Amino acid sequence: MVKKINKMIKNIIENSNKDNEKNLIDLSQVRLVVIFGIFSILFISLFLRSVDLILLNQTPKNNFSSSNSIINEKNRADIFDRNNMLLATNVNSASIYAKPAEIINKTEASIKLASVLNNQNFSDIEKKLTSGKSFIWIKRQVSPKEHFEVNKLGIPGIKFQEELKRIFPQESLFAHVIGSVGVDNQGLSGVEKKLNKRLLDSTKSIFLTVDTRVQHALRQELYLSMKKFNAIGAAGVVMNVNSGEIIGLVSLPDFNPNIKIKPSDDAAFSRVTLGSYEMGSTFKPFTVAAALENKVISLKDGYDATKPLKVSRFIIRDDHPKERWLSVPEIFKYSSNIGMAQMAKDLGVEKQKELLKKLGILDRSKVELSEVGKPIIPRTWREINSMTISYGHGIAVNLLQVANAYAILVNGGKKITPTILLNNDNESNGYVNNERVISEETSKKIRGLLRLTVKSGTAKKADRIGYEIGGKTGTAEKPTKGGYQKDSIITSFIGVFPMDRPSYVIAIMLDEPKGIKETHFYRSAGWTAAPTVGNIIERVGPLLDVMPTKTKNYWKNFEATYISVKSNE
Amino acid sequence: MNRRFYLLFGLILIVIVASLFQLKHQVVKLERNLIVNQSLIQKEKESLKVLKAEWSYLTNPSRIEILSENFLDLRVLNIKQIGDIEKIPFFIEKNGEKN
Repeated sequence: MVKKINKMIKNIIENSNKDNEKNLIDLSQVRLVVIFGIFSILFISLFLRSVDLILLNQTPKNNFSSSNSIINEKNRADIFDRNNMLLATNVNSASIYAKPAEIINKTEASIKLASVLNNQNFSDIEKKLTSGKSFIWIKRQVSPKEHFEVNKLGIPGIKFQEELKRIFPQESLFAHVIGSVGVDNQGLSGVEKKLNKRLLDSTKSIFLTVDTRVQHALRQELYLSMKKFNAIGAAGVVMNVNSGEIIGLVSLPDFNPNIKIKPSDDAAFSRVTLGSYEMGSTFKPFTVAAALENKVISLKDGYDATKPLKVSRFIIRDDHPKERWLSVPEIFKYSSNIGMAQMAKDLGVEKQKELLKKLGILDRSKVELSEVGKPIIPRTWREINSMTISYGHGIAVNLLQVANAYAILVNGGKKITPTILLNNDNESNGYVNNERVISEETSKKIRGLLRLTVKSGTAKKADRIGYEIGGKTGTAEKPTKGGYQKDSIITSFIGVFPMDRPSYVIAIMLDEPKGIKETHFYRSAGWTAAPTVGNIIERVGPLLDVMPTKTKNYWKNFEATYISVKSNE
Repeated sequence: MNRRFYLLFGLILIVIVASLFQLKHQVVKLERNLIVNQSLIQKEKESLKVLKAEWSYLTNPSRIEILSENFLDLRVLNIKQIGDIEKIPFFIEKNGEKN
């Protein structure tokens, strides 16, 4: 019996064990599946991540170098002159800012900062620090020396930010060409403003037509004349007569674009392109050219200049009265207003206007600078306007326009537009050389007349051995309300050289020159502006690759053809 | 046979994995080098820019003029000094040709 029970129990246990065993196997299988599942998920995610890292994630992880390359990112393009001289570029510079909350002793910090920063005083800094703002600029774009000094102070809460600074290594030399740039990298004047978008969009350098050496010679000679004649300003432009390229452009007084100036400052004003002036006699060739072109006169004709001309309530006088009949070349070389007024009357308003329009005198110049003034022309153009305009009064234009018009007159009559950009292969250049303003013949005559003025007329002081220079002087009183100021004048001289094959026009202007002992207290253009241009040509001629000649071929031909009949002077 | 195959397979796997890791380390090292060099190039570029600006500043005509006046025995070129090369008599050359 016991045995039986025993056996039964054994059986039961065995059964239960078998059940247990089965359960155990089931359980371990479940565990295995769970563990396998977890691991396979992990491995799949690892695999996916590695695929992602290897194949899909292509961005390089070199944060170190990219953080350093601000100089390539929001860069302004560099500007060079025609000979690869660097005129404007960017360098890294630090700006100092403060987080006032982190500064322990604000007064002490202000004293320390004021002691090492230029142009900053203690009270201004302290005012800024105690203003309660959480972030303030102490000084933007400091010099490396200031950066070092401030860093050495080690004031907590004073920090630096790397910024780009626009610098102009040639300083004031190109002040009115390139202009300046503000702290926020926006052009404020000149090429920098006009081409601001282009300079910011592309890092490709811009090449200008200007030549640093010519620019320097022009600026220096103008500066010397300005000081010599005690003038309040001077301006000059050198231009290629065949391409319209501006080789030099100077307006004095000028400024250093590396240092901020007020836009209202006189030095910021461009007398070459922005200022419109009554040019006086330098306007005479335009009316003479129109009269010759329209066959109203020939060089053998002339006008009576014995006494001042009375036109309605105006009286037209001569500055250098000869009080006799004058031939056209004589009217030109003695700069006779009486003769010119009569010529303008014979020419007529429309024809005069037409040529001035074609010469670009009546429209705003298209040169790539931001400061370009609009010419001031009479609203109604009557005969009396036409007569005064013939000798450069009653119309105000800028010097660059006059230079451009002279270039057209002497280059054989081909239309050109002034430009400051080198290799400026825009569509306008193609037709420019074909469009004719005046005939070759008229251009030749004007050249002869310009040479005559320098050889034996009002501009004798511009003559130099080696170059055949031609040109025309202009002396104009500055207008005030309802009249003219007798004591403040503008003298100008537009010179062209060499006359046998005109290449360059040099136009200059002196603002309020005074007579000096050396000039016997004369202050007219022939005494002030003309010799300045002579000096400039002497200096820049060799630089511009113009070969000096010892013969006066052009003059001889001209004289033989046109003047010989009337050289009874 | 089967076991040998597995052994061989295992060995190849170990070699491949080891060399892959080696390669990876080398790549990381090279990349680090690259980053360092790139930043060095960047720095050089920046100092080049500064040097170019300085060169332009130091060669500005007014400064050169002052230096030339102070240190060189040169005078301003006169237009009379410019002439044609044909007008210079090269006697020696002509003699040489004749001989």
